[in-house]
Amino acid sequence: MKFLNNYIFNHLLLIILITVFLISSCAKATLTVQSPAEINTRKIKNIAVGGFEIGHIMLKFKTERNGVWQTHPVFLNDEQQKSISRSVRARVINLLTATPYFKVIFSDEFEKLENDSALQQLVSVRGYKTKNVDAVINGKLWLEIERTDGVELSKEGLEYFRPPRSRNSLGLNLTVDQVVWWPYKSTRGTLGLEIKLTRLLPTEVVATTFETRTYSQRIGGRSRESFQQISEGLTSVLSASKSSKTDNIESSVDVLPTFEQIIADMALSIASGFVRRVAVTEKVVSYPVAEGSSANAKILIEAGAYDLAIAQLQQTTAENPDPNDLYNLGLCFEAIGDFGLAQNTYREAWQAEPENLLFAQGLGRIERLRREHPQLQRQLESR
Amino acid sequence: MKKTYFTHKKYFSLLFCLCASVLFSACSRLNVSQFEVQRPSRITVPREVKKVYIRADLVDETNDKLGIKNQVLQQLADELNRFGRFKVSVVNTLDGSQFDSEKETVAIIQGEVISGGEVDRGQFTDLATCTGGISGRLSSAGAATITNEAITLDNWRGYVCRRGTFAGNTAELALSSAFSMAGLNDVIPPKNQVVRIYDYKNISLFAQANFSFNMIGLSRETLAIRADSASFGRSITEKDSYRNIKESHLISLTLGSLISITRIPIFPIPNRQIALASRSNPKKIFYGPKGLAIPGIYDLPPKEKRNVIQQLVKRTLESFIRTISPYKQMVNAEIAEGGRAKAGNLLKEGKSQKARKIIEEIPQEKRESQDWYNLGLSYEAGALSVQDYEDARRFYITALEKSPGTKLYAQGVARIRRYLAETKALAGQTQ
Repeated sequence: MKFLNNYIFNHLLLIILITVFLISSCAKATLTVQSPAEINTRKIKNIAVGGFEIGHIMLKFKTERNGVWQTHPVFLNDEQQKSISRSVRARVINLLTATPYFKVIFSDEFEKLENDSALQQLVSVRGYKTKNVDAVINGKLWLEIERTDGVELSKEGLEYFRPPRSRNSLGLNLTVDQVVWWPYKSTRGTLGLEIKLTRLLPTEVVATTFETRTYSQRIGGRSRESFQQISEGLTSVLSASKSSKTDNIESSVDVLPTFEQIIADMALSIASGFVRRVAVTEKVVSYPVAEGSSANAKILIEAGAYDLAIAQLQQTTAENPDPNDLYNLGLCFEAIGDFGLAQNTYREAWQAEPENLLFAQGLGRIERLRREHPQLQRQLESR
Repeated sequence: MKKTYFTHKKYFSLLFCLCASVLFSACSRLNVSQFEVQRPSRITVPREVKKVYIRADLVDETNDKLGIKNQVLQQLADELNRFGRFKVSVVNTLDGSQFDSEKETVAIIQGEVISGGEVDRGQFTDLATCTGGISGRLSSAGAATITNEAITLDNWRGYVCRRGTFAGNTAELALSSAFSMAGLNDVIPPKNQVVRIYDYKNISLFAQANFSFNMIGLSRETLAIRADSASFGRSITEKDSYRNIKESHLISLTLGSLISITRIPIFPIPNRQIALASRSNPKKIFYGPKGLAIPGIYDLPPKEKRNVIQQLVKRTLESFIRTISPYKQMVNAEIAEGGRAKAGNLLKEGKSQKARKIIEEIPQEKRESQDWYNLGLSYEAGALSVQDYEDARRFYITALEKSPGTKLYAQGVARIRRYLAETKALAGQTQ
């Protein structure tokens, strides 16, 4: 038994030490890669952002006690509603300006138009005065957010336990049934946003999306579960746009966000999906670095000093073409966007060690990029 | 006993190993030199724009419920002035007396400030387990002191009640039988469960700035529009408000005694009224027609509220400022310990010039890799030109050649690579 205990303990210690070592030594290179737009917007360079029309806005507080519901709507005047519309529009602009793909022309001519019909009419008769605009983005929003103060009911078995006092005593173990009220608070918000990209010459609606995002969070209640979600990630478009979302200086999962914060985050989520469809976007990815013969090269890649790593690896591989060094060299070329050289170098590494998954993955990545590349290249060249 | 001692010893050493690895990884990064670097703005504002007017009259405050508009505008002006690219002032109007639109191009900032906050009060219910016996009481009280959790005492025996579920009865019964057989009857203390209620208040604050940056002169053009926001949320449990409202044995003293003596299971209780924990249903309605109040001085002390709002404003403005103006950013770079010059402390104290002088007095062939790295750091920290960055890069590479595989030196090379790439943009924006 003692032997078994020692054996388990020693193995546990070994596993922990290996895990700590692996965590601290797992080398990764962080690369910024570009993804092509889903739809062809090649000839559109300069865009203006029109207004975001309000379809419907409803904010309300709800209370439930003993099965009786009371609803208190929050009345927003015109100016408050327009402020929500302007906030949503500005979030879309934040994302559009974060991508170098479009030049955003800030003109209030299109923003002042009452709705989409007015915009389409102006565009069809070419009555606009703003110059150098290829397309206009406008939108319409529907918003509903409610906060609930409710109570749920459940039967609980409250337990009582007294240990036996002697060999003849069985002790006492019983359960008292209680019906207990569990107050909770919750918030649920849905934003529907239609965004449209209209080309001016020739007049054509190039892209249109209607997407909804739902946010929900609940605190308290029986289950003590606090859940919070927006159906799509907020920070997937650009690293530069990270600061576009609501920045928390202090937060708690037990605090429901304000109406303004929910609107801001949902608008950003929808806008990021739209921008991905119409513009070349960038994303940051991490790939493993191989254990090559050049210690310097590995740490230079990890740190992001690709130029010096290339110089060192070219020298090393010329003398001794170690496949791990070749893979690392390919990784450096991939990081600086030289996909042709990256592919050749990855292939060289893979040919030397065809069973190495890491090398095959590198090769596969470049092949996929090159398949997408003509589209990406065309999109970038049209800028 | 001996076996228990060895088992404890082993697991203590395991825990020690884990703590040591965590501490080692955390502490090995404490030795840093902090210096300021200038970063380029996201857009390049034409060089002729030198004056910026923040038009208070054109900044909408309809939804500024916290009344922070003036603070936002002043903080925006102060930050932009600190970075030196523009001369910025907050004005209530702009006319011909302030600038000549035919000779000068200026920029104006306008937009809106949105802010709000709420105090969300309420009552929650939880289940707690009460432990009796001296040992139980002491351990619970001791744990409560450490974790600062809410504890209550049950009304019947004064047991200490803490949030959590009743431990597995079957296992505990089996264990107690075993202890009982061994004659150790008092090892397992009695337990009972209670329903508790408590009050809480959740405080949240929100700030958003929607600003546009417009150039005006012979022509008018909007160069940037941004909306950025920041929020604050804190949940405060009113610890004094915890109350036990139902206990598993406390139906009545008589009934409780009966159970204790006869061990007759009388449950489930047939009378629903007795079994209903009615006080767990809050009588008060927390969401009324007036909505939620803005946090007052009793919810958040004035000094703390000022600090929180200042941080909210700062975070809200950060991205807009970085969009239009080159900005300064603090960089923490690790210092290399050792070397012949022992210049680490000087760099830590920000005396980069003195550190540079001391290292440069050592003949090159006698310099160790740490000296070369610290020399690079001194150039980087006091950089005034592109040449300084290029020198720093050269010294970092020399350090790396002298001591291959040192991550710290590679990080220096990578930092300089980024600065050099940004230099061109920065030069266009500041000269």
